[in-house]
Amino acid sequence: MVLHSPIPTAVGFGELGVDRLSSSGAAAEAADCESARPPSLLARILHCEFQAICCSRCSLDARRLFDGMPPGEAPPPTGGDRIGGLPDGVLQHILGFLPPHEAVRTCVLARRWRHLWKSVAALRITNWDWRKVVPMEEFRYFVHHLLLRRGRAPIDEFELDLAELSDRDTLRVNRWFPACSDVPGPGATAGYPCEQGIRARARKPACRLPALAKARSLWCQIDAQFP
Amino acid sequence: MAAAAAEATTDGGGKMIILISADGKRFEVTEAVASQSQLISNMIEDDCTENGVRLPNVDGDILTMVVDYCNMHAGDAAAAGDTMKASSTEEELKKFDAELVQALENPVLFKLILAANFLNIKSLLDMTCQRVADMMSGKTPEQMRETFSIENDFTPEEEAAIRQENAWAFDD
Repeated sequence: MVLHSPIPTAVGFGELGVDRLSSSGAAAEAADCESARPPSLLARILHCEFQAICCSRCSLDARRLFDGMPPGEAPPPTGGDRIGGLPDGVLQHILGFLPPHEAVRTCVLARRWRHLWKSVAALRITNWDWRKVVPMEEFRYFVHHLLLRRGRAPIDEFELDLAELSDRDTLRVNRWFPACSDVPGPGATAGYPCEQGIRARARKPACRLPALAKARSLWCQIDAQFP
Repeated sequence: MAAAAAEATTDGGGKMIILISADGKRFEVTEAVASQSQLISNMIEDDCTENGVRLPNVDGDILTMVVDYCNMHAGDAAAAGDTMKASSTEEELKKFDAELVQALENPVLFKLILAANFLNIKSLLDMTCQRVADMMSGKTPEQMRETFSIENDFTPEEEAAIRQENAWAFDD
């Protein structure tokens, strides 16, 4: 697995319209962009919830400031002695080891970092750390944004580790991975319910999040076992 | 006799391969050690390692570390058959790995990452990238810029706009 740079997904964002997700209607548009397929259920659900969130939270339109800016930039031709000398693919590999909220925050470091987090291929989502469990409302708000902004970036590794879920929460979390695809993909998966929560792991080469069939079937298994 | 002969070849680790760094340093390693690099493993498969493998973008001092790492980890794979030996080796390996990445200054760490990426040694790439992620974790963007000498090329207005756009990740 050599991480080349620039990686094609980063370049493709503009074309896919993912970069315009915060404007209203863009979520459906992004889902539509895959030729003949209707918008996925995930995209529709997220879009509805996202619009509601946007109405209350969004204000300043950052888009106009960056109209002339390309979505991905090649690494500067420096030696390899600085972090800036690493290719985009390697930086994204590094970001894959960070909790998602920390990875997203690297967008303000410099222009080159602005969109890097969006195509990180490893996603490890958890609603707790050693200090506390994040309140579900706050956690949902974060995950909805994360999944929408990531758009259709390929994902190789996916991990969900949620603690203290109520039945209602479980239903909500389920909606993040609705039946978007009935084609099971290759790759090994393993999932198990743990005390008062859910852990799931999915590994699938180059699968796209809205078609995370393995996670879906895995989720059903967990649901069945989970009281 | 036949069994003894077969054992002799496995013990010897097969053919030796010569790796040549950018500054002309030569490293002689067994095929088993070298093939932890997917790049070299492919070259071995294609039979093009006869005259040594030139690595024009890996310096001698970095290649020394890579070869040390591969030597340590190839030993682990060989000892895997012996349970007792394997468990002690595993502990030693963890210690070796931890010491290797902890001791590195940033510039050397980044060069090692580039080498691991170029040579395609997944475990070394993961370990070094994890180290950088650990250094980033818990830091504010300002602290990250300072730690990694990242130049902020946003105007204050642009930076504020991006923070606003991604406020959902900055709310704490």
